[in-house]
Amino acid sequence: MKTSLWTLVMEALFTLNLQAFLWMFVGTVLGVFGGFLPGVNATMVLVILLPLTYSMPLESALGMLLAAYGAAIFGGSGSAILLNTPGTGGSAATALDGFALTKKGKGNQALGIASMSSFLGGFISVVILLLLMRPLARFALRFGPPEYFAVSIFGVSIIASVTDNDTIKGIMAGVLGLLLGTVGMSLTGQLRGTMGNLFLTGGINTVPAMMGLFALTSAFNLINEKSVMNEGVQHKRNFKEELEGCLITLKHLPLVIWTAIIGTVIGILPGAGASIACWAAYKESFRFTKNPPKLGTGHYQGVIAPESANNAAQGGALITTFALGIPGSGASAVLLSALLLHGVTAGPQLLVQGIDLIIQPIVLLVISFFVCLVIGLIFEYVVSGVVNIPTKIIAPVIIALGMTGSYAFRGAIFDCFTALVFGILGYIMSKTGYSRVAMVLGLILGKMTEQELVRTSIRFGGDFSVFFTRPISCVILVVSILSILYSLVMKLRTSKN
Amino acid sequence: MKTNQFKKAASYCNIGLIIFTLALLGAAMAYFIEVSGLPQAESNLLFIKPCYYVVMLCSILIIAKEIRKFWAALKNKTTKADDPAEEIDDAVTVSKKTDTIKQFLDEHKEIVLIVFSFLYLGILKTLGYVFSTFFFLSAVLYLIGAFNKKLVIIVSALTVLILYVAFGVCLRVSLPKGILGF
Repeated sequence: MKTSLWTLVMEALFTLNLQAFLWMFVGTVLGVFGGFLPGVNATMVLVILLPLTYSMPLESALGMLLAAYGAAIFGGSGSAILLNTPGTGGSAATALDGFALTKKGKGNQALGIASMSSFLGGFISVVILLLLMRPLARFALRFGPPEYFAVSIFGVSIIASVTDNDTIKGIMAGVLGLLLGTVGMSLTGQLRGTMGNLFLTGGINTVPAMMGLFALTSAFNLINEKSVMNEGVQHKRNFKEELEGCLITLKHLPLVIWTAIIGTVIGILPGAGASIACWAAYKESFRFTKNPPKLGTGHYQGVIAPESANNAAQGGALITTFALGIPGSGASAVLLSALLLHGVTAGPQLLVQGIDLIIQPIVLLVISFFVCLVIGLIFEYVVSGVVNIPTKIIAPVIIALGMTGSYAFRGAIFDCFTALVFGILGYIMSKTGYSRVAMVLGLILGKMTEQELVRTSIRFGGDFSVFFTRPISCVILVVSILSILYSLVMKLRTSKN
Repeated sequence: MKTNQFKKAASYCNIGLIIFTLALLGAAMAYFIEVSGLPQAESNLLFIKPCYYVVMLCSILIIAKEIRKFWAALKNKTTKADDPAEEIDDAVTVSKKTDTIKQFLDEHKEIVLIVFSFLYLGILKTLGYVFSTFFFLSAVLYLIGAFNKKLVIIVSALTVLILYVAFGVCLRVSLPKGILGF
């Protein structure tokens, strides 16, 4: 007899033991701390915690890992808002308006907004996960190369929205990013643009590249300024303002829900994840404002949207991980390893015969969101004082932190050089009006876009009408094209006014 | 006089932007040529070719916009061309050169930061993470920050300690160990 989902959730809640709760707490704390550190992502935190799970029961093991998984994205917003140094790829969009709010003296509110948005986004995605795991998994199975290419083009269409000042320069930066994303080994086995360097065989590592374009460029700009803050503005740690930020998020509930749905759907697609979800959501933030302010000038929606989406993407990724057994990211792969270690195989059978095995860890994940919110607010209150440190101290420290974060990713000094080169490139771009955001987007999307285009060409014999004859890819492509046209028309109207 | 007009007109367009755009275009072109020479070029260029053409078109538009500004300024001969205050005194220029370099570096501390960053990465493998980071921070804080030696040492040591504990101990990242073993 099939037990109802509600019954399973209630059973899991009432059979929670102290050990499972404590390990969940450990995972949450480490995840928040790790996520805050630039260059350290959920995968790294999970890899460190995995050996600890060998002797644990499955529920405790999975509960701890899931808590760390969600908390790492949660923690990444802190350094993005305070230092313009995204702790994880999913926090890159948050840095734009988050850091702008810090400079205006509203850093406390921005931290509160990010914490509450992350909490709500993650919570909504888990509800979707529990209710719609089976149908969403079936939906994900219908995605082939044309659909993945259409999703990439949807991501590329975001470039048109983020090029605020000069569209031509923005498009050029974005397309250069796409080209940079194709560096490395092609689908047909050729090495392109590697200059004989083995480290480039897998392509340009996006973590050090983002570290350079955001953190290091920020340090090079900050060194000539007196303070991180705007002139005449001071930052004082204020927990009350953080709580105000939480309330501000609650006033934007429709945006939170909508971007959480976007994040969950994008998170379902293997390889897409929080890095794309945050930008797709950032673009949506403008739809919810009557008079959309300029990009990156410090509007609350610019923090709410990406933070809600990047945490929701984690929930979406869990659907593919548990329901299909497909790891969409390194972190998902570690989760699958944990399941295998305890003799459980993920996939459709798990949903039919073993769903009770994963319900309790998912319940623990939801509880960890509450823990994250409290710990996150306290942790960020403590570290937010860093913005008052003189820029002549902060700038070299950011560089040391950025280099360490770049190195930590795979233990290669080459990645530190990558970060430095992108830092210099980003600095020149910031002085000449090119959009670094567009380049980052292009870099993230380049590989996926090219690979899916080539796969479509091979599979369908060069017939590209398949993009419009398959319903899912057709809808996504049409939406993307309309989105680009809409952005360009709005820009033309703004420039005429 | 004509040289002055030329210089005035040139100040209306962003030479740095033109040079940077040409550099980006050159890099894209080099990548495109490299990929074109690979086997199975058709498959390799399926995505890269249209991207390259977009980059080329955007570069032309950006450079054309700057050149248009230059010509417009050059045609407008009555603006500042005969201003005696703008004439340059060569004798004064030579003696001010040393001050200008110091002033330039003072106003562009990022150049010092970039140079030291490269040096930092150069010594990282040899001296190890702890010493390299300490020396990098100390050098930059002392030269750019102009803080006293005590503060420089305290801040550098504290930063290295926090980073080492966070990454090396808590997250068990294997940080570079130099000839001294840590």
